[in-house]
Amino acid sequence: MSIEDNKYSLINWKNINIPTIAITGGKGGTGKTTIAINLAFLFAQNNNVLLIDLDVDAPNTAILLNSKLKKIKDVINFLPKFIEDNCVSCGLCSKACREHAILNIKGKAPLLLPELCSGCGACKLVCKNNAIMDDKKIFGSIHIGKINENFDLLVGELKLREARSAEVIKATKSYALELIDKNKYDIIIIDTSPGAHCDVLRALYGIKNILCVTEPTPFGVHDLERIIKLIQHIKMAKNVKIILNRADLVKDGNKIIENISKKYFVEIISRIPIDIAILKSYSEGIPVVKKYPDSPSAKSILELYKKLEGIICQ
Amino acid sequence: MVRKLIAVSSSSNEGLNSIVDGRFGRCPYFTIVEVIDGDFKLKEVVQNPAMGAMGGAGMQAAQLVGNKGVNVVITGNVGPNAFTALSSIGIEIVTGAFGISVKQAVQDYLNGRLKPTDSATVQSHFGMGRGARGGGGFGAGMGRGMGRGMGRGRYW
Repeated sequence: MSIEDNKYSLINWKNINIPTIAITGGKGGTGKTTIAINLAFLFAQNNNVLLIDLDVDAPNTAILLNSKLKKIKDVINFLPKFIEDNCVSCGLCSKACREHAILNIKGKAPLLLPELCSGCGACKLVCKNNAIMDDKKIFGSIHIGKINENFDLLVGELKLREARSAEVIKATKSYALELIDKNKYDIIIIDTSPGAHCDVLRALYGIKNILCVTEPTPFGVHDLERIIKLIQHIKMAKNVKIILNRADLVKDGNKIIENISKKYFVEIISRIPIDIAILKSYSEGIPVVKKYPDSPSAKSILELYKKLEGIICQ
Repeated sequence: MVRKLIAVSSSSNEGLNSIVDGRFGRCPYFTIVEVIDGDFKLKEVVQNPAMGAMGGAGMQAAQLVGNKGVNVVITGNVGPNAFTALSSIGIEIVTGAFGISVKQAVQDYLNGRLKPTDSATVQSHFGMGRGARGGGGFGAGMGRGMGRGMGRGRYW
């Protein structure tokens, strides 16, 4: 059975009734994960929260939360296994393989390069001699962590040297649907990877509330514009907001972000100042809102949290 | 009588006078040369369908030369997938041929100046994009000292 016709397939994310917030932003290093863990922590004071880390290339929410993860399962995919006795070396499998992962030389058994295989299964479909059996390839893993009573963490991780990160995101989101079925969560928060590519698209698929974290630099502007265009293109989000981190980085620097805000009709919901407390909390693995609640950054995040409560409880 | 078929990655279809293309998977043509007891002659020139491939070019090119019954491949550089594929079907891979004619390359191989490699010499996708780094300018110096004996072992 393919992932598509499963009850827990990615497509069912658009039917979720639990308030869900995704945190993205285009540029890397703008504070997406920091804001994700802080918001999750604040929500967890009164709600059951599931934080999902979908930055599968470099998941690090657990580090920022100083938490231990437990592996739940591997993300696996089909890999052909050739039964040499049945193979007539017809070459159909090799021709069907779009990734050119199967080498077929007349009179010899097919040779598979597992690194190239996408696991699509076309080779098995076209084989007329039952010469291809199911084998599997592990290309990622799913982990969970318990931060406190009300706060669960779900993390997808791509295996090193594997390329199909979007598949790991799909699998992690599918597993999240299972968890959501079992546990009563009030809020789901998703942390995405930087960029505006396939991985981010998969992570944002079906999510109603999206926060774009950026900073007042030309890089920030450029990547923010790309991610907003992507979000507006997929037309699934109800609320899209900008979080301007390091808001006081440059004098008049906010103007460039405000221009984007006006151009795409996306509100800047929060401005977080540069603050050493956020750096300290980051290195200590404790959310800034917990460790330094009176710091300027913590206050901004608290204010943001209150605004979000209002938005998603509508 | 010793008979060998050698496929040389080539930048044009001018037979023995073509210049060697430094890329194996993404060269435009393979010039196939027949060697009989030290003498050699042009057998055929085949177009490489994998030239513009996004990925898996080395595999497609290996498939092509493998089905032509080639024993030796002479090229500039070889990527990891092509290396695995070629060596697993017992094809000797000779690298380090840059900016010379096919004829010269075959002569260099036959008199031992070009030697087989026992590992890939570049990363995947190295030859992507036209006129890529694999071309002659990249350095005839490369690969000359790379022959580390007969690299034929299966990888697994």
